[in-house]
Amino acid sequence: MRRWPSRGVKCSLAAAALLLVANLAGDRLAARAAERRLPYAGPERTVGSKVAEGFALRKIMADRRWFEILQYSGDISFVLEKGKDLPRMMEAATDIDPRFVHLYSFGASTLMWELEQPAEAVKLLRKGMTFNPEEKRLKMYLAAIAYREGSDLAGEVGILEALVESPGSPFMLRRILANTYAKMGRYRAAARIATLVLETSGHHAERRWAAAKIAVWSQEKDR
Amino acid sequence: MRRLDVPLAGSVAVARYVVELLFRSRLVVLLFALGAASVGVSVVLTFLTPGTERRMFFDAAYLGLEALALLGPVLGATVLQILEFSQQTIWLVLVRPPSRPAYLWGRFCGLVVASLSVILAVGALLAVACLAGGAFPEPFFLPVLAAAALETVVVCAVASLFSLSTTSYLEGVVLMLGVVALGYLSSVLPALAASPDWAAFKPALWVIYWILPHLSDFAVRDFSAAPESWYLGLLGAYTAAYAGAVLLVAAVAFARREV
Repeated sequence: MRRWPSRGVKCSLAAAALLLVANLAGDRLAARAAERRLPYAGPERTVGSKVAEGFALRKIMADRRWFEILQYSGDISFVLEKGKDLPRMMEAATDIDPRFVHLYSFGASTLMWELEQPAEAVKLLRKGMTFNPEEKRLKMYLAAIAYREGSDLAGEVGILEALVESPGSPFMLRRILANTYAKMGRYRAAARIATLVLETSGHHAERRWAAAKIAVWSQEKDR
Repeated sequence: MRRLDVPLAGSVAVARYVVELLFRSRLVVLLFALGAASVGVSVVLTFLTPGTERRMFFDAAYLGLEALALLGPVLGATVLQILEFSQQTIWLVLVRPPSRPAYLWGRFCGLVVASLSVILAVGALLAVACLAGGAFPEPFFLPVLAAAALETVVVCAVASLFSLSTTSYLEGVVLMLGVVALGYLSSVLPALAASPDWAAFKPALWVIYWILPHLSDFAVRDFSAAPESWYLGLLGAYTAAYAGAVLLVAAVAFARREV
């Protein structure tokens, strides 16, 4: 005679009970995970962005965009087109991961000091500051641009000096400051920045640039 | 001998058999090699992205670790299914004790041990790479490792269910990968259920949401900040409850299956 409830029914009821417990815990986890996930900075959520978020690929996709930006910046088309695609590429990358701080510092430096597009640089920095209010570096970049726009070279150099000393400062910013010092006739300060690049950079091309500049600037006298 | 002793002893023997089988089939070695390769790729990426070396390294390495947490159980369960059912060695295992529930439990435990050994080995390799590169302290390292370990337990349970209840290993693999993919996308179901366009499907969407594993909650590597300890503790409780539920369903399905 078969016992009732059968083992199958008991197992099914136990499974349902455990599933209920799991979902009670799962609701709390989902709520916390939603708070912890990266904010979305774009104008609207696309299907692709929702799928990327579902598979937890936002940071990876932002890294891929960053890689594309680096390749574009090193390509001859960047020079010939005067970097016309850079603002669009920076916007797309920071939409995916608005907390990727280096994107803003790199993008703002390039837009301001290489491409002479201060409005785009400021727009990018303001976006960065909205999503990263604790980041002091972005505020300093904004201040440096303000000094530059106001033709306050001393003020601009002061801010840039503080920025290049911070860890993770882009090589381009250090190069810009070193060249600015050289233009001002402050060769010892320029050589000091080049020495900083030589001692801290992990990239052969950057160290080669620094060694070449140190060899030149160390021979010059300050004006 | 008490009746209770037989299932436990049988489960331990099955677990040991499964672990040995997975090591002998070189699957564990292959998975470790894949994990080591992902750490190697992460190191290479640091040379290509100046200024963001640390971020590139950890993003790629954590993704590799999580991929192993998913692939390990799926491949392991598939290999077991191929060896046991295709070669019909399962008859030899089941013709004597242990019982089917004991076999299921032992098989699940063996799969968990093999998968966790890969995760921990790759985690150790990653730790060595971090120490060599001076990348510590890294707030995400232990949470990502813990979440990957818990995720692999959930996927082991799902893999055990499908590998023991399906008739072909291809069917099993498709179902396993399908549930894993839907598990990641399950986070969008509550928003869909709340949307007026999907009102007619609301009850079905909620049922599907409750049944699927919430794997996106395990992907702490994509969070903006490292999760708190209580989050990981609750994740452990979710893992235990969900895996338990899936194994009970697997026990019912396996009990009815003709071998």
